[in-house]
Amino acid sequence: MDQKQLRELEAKCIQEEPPECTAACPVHVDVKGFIKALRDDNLSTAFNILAKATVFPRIIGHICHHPCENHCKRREVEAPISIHELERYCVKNAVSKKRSLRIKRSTTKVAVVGAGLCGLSAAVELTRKGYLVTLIEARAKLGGRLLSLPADILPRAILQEELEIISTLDIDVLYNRRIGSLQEIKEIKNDYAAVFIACNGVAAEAPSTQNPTTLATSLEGVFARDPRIAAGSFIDFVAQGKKAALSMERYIQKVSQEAGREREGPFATRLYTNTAGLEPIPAVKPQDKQGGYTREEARKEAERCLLCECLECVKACEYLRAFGSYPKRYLREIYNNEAIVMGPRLANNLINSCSLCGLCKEVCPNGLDMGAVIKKAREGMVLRGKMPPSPHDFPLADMNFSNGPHFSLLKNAPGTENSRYLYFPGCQLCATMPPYVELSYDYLRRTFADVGLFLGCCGAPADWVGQRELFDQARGKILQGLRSFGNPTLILACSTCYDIFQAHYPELDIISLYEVYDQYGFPSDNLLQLKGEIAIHDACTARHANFQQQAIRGILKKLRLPYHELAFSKNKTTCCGFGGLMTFANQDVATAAIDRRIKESQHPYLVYCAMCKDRFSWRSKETYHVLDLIYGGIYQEDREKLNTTKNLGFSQKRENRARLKEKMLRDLWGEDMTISGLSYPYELEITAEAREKMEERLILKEDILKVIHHAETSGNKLLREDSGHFLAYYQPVSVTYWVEYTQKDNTFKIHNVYSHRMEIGEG
Amino acid sequence: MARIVCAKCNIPLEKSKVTISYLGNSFPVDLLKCPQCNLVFIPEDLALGKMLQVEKALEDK
Repeated sequence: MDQKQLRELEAKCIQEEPPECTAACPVHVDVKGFIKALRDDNLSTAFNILAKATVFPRIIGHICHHPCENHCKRREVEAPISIHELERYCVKNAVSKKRSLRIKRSTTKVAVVGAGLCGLSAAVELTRKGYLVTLIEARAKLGGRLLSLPADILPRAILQEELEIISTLDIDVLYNRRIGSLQEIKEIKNDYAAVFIACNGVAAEAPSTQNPTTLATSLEGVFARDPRIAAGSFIDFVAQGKKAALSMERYIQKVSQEAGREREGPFATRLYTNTAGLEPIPAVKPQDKQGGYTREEARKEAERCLLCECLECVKACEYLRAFGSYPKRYLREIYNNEAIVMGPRLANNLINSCSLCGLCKEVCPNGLDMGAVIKKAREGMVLRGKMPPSPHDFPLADMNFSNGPHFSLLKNAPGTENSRYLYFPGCQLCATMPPYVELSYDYLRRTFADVGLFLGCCGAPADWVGQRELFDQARGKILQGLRSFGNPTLILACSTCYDIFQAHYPELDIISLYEVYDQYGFPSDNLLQLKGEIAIHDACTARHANFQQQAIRGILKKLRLPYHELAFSKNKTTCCGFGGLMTFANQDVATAAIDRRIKESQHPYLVYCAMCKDRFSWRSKETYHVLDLIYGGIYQEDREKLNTTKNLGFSQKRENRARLKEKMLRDLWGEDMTISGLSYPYELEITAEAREKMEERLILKEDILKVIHHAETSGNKLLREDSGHFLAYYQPVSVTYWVEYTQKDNTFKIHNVYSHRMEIGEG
Repeated sequence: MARIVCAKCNIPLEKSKVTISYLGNSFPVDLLKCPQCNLVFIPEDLALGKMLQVEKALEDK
């Protein structure tokens, strides 16, 4: 990711855009911050927020014509937040401290004609900018039109106190000087670097404003208030004063008048705030209309505010939520993680924890795809040799196993020499529900005759974790195999395989097993009898696979099984926590993701990805794979077996794959599986605690056997004198495994297992 | 912690400096070790505690 790409991506995340109220305010009061402060009963913070936007907060707090309220999102269902009434409450009740106006110093003189709200605002702003300001007023008093406002709207005392600021600043006020003609303006300009005409009478005779962005007139260095501002639009007068002060500063500094001022006045924000399902709450009316809100009333009204923000993706995704921020910040962290030369890469965990499921893109108003960004980041880390080994070693070894001699297989159907189709059930279905692989293969051969069998892994783990080279190797082998079979159409039982083949093997014809069932029907001899309704959990890798989604629903209709859709379904479905190998990099977030999904419905779930079933069953959610519906009748007498994946460990999953290959080879082709390799002459008895630790710590039965074999053949083992348990360690590749065991004849009882990656060296 | 004995040499382990390393970084640490055959003991809480922390820190370096 380079700077340009970063900025383009950042621009898609609109969380930091201002809410509608702030964007509509001519001086952009931070309304959200203001309301948050009121909710916390923090009046001084709330007051300071107002004071930041206008030099006369106590005046504006009483008289603002509040265009913000017309833009409040609550208006979509009811009355807007009474922002103005809250402002009035704030300025009436906040203890007004003497505000310190930090002033820079300069010897440049500027003039402001007219000491109404607009001229006064400009004069204070210019003083803050360091200029020597002369304020020229026709009358004998400051305030202009403010003086004629009724006292119940703007109390006199407030006005006087606020106007005292002028005397505390070094502003030179010339009273009783009416500027009546163009000639007089030209004369003033001779004595000052820049002039602002803020009053009405003169403005009419002065050259009219030529440029509403800058308020520049046709007279060089003379700026004038926009004559179109309506009399009661007080906050616009303040904004005009601020605008003039900025233009005059830029004019004096001889810098661009126009650059970067697009959002100076009211503008259309890009912020999106979802108001779907927003409950109406009636606006709080002050009991004492004249006195305004009480503290309780103000707090109650402030509570109605939505505190507008986007966070559509963060609300939908447990992973984005878990890291406590939002994509714009995450993008910067990912960029920094790549750019850093020395020091820790703090975003590694952020990058490796995403499921790459693509939900963020679906819910983002601008289609920002964090999954795609993260996948690129992973590829970059791998290329630079900066990918931490620990999160992905285990699943990549599993992929290697699936594409090795214990599982991989490519054969024409028994008794045939050609394959028009090849059934590719995928490694996870074979690992978790092997009997269904045999039954579905049998069905396919009866349906199409010439269907070969292809066992292996599609390469998804390598693709997900950014191991391009590893993926390309696997892909090359698959392509080579397919080519030697004349590129038959692949029938896929796994939505992830489907997704991978679609993206990376565009030259192949693929079809989902479930589309075959939907089109050609399915056998009825082993149907599972289910009562009640189920909810469909679409696989995240089938997010855009409409045909697969439809086929699943078609099968359910044919089965006459009542079902309903979850709130997040089809293109907006959520990941079970396996996608992107999230569960290996960040078990906590992966568990939070699936637990949240489970809460969406009380009904059992229907899935069509083996990993979804595995994950839901692991969390004890009653879940059926679509193949359970078609073939689960074989377990009708022993329904517990339908949830076999619940306690299936990683070791058993590997063993299931190898056994499936062995069984199918023998049953269908009459061949024996012969694999040269070590088999160990030990029986293992693994305690329940040790079994749990094996899963949590990603330790396989095979790893334990290797440790025991090493200890028993070399004699290298320790003894705990308290328990009489042996302790031994062995490092087959990169991880060192420790096993605590006792031995009785040929049976080894496993009490504990753990591992580390640090290598033990010499003393 | 109970006494740990080297089952091969039949003598108790003793505290000794052992070098452990990961991703090209080495550290000397005090571990229990057989004074005769150099077999080392790394307790579970060390492997899953401090050691894991250091591994993660080195992976992110």
